[in-house]
Amino acid sequence: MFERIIACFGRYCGTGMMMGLFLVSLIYLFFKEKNKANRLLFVYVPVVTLLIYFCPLWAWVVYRVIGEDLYWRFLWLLPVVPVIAYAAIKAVQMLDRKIQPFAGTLAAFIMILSGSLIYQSSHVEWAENIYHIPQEVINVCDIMEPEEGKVKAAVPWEMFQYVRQYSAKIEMPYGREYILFDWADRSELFHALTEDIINPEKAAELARQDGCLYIVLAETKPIDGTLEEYGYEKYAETDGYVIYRDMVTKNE
Amino acid sequence: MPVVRIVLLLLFLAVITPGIGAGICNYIKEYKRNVAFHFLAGFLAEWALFQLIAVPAIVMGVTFTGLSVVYGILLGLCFIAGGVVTASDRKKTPALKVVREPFSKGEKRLWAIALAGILLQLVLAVVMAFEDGDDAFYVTTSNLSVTWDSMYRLLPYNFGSTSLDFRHCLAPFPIWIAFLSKLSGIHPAVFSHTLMPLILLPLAYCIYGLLGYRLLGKNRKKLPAFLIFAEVLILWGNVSAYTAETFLISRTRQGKALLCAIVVPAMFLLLHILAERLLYDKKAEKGLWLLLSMAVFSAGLGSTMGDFLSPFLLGVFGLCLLFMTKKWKPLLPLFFCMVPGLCYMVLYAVVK
Repeated sequence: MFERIIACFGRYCGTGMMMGLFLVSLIYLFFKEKNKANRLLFVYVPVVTLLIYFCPLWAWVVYRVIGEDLYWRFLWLLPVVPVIAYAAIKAVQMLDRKIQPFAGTLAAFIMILSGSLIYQSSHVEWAENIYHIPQEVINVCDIMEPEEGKVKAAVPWEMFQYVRQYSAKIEMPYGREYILFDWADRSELFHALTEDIINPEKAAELARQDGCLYIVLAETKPIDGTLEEYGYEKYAETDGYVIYRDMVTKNE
Repeated sequence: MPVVRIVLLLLFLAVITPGIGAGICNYIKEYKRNVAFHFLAGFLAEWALFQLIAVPAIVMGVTFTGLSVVYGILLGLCFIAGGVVTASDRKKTPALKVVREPFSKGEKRLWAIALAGILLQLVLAVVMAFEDGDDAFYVTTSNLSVTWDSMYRLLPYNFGSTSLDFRHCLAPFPIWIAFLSKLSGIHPAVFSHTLMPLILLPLAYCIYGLLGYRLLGKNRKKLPAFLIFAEVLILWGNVSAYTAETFLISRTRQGKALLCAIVVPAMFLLLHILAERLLYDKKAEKGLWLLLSMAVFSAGLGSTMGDFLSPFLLGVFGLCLLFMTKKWKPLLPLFFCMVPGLCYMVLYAVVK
């Protein structure tokens, strides 16, 4: 149990440098802070929180009530930002007035070296539009979205998480749950549309069975024949995607 | 029409929110005239009210429009009540003009750096997109509510209706965003991704500013330096995908960010004010206890995990306070503040 708690703590802390800075700040405040309210909130409360977090009995209870995968969220209760910032100010304040600006800059540098800049994350990029949704998804959705009612469309996996954020009128036979869960749970249609070479007859039949008015495929996706032969006309092309529309269902 | 709706949104954010907050702060002597605290108190009140009415409304199958109308009316009433309380108090006790020492050159420079840093973050929040798979659930839930007037009865990931998603409906922050989106006529995706950071990031820094001011012994000279350090720690706090700092910047529109980056620091601020009162034998105003219980409701609005974390934090605080003061009396109101969280926690455990 204790190893699992430590592993969870390690995942939260990353390199551990920022947590190290936090612990050093806590120790510093423990010895230097005189104000009772500051000591209570920014020394005792975080220390007790950490002690409880590392208690195997507590972890055992929490694992059973809310699940092991959420245990790390107890670490959100550590006031990392105010404790480090306050300890830094307090430490700098103790120095000679003349060197305080340099010491403050040095403290900021230590914080920077201990952390990782959020804008360098691999999940960040320049926004293509005000929706913060890839523009090609918006263009594809604009073509498919009906004025009234809803339509169902099978889209490539890279669009799963965006389509319904943009248009609640577009339903999908499957969505982000296919990224999250096991292959075993995935539908035949998904397999048919993600095969290396798509069998158009099978794909069209399954899509129609599933009520998909549209099938969206990447332009580069190899197909052994054409979807047109099986009732899905090439309705539009945009941003490297081809949108096929079911003429059989539409005519009905 | 779009202009009217944008005006309504601005009215909600810039007038109604601090107006409600001012009414509550009228009962907290120290913060009667503190606008930043009014905003915080106003948001906590709005979130608590929303959590209080939205969960039963969702369970009872009320439409999103129905909930929005009731919430709007209640907000209006709270605003009027807040206005009446504030106005009557101002008549009785006209504000004394506080004469503050002017900022020194060095202080001005530090304030300029701190404010420029916040401004830069706001600009980057608009021009940079933070991809997160969970948006497929949260943002889509807001979008579905606005489009189909239904709450937690449509599956966000793919299609179709479902029986009530009881677990997620206990933390209906996406519906609160949907309310603002409907009020303003702005698409829920735009509101979530682009506008939410513009609302919550300044609020987070207001909280850190208020907290820093108290930590520094109410010495505003060091406050800009504290804020600069806080900004550095937040911006470079992406040591893993799980930290509160990462959530604040990159997942601002999600209820989890509301919990860890807004409500938890706000609770530390409120507990600090309370601690100062209780440790130095001063009277803790009723408004403080009210705000603390509102923070517990707000934590639940953000995430069901908030229903565990907020009573836990209050419990640890109570334990440490007892250790320091050896007095049992403050533990009773503290326990009452925990009750909303405990109730939602039991509900969560039952439906999980």
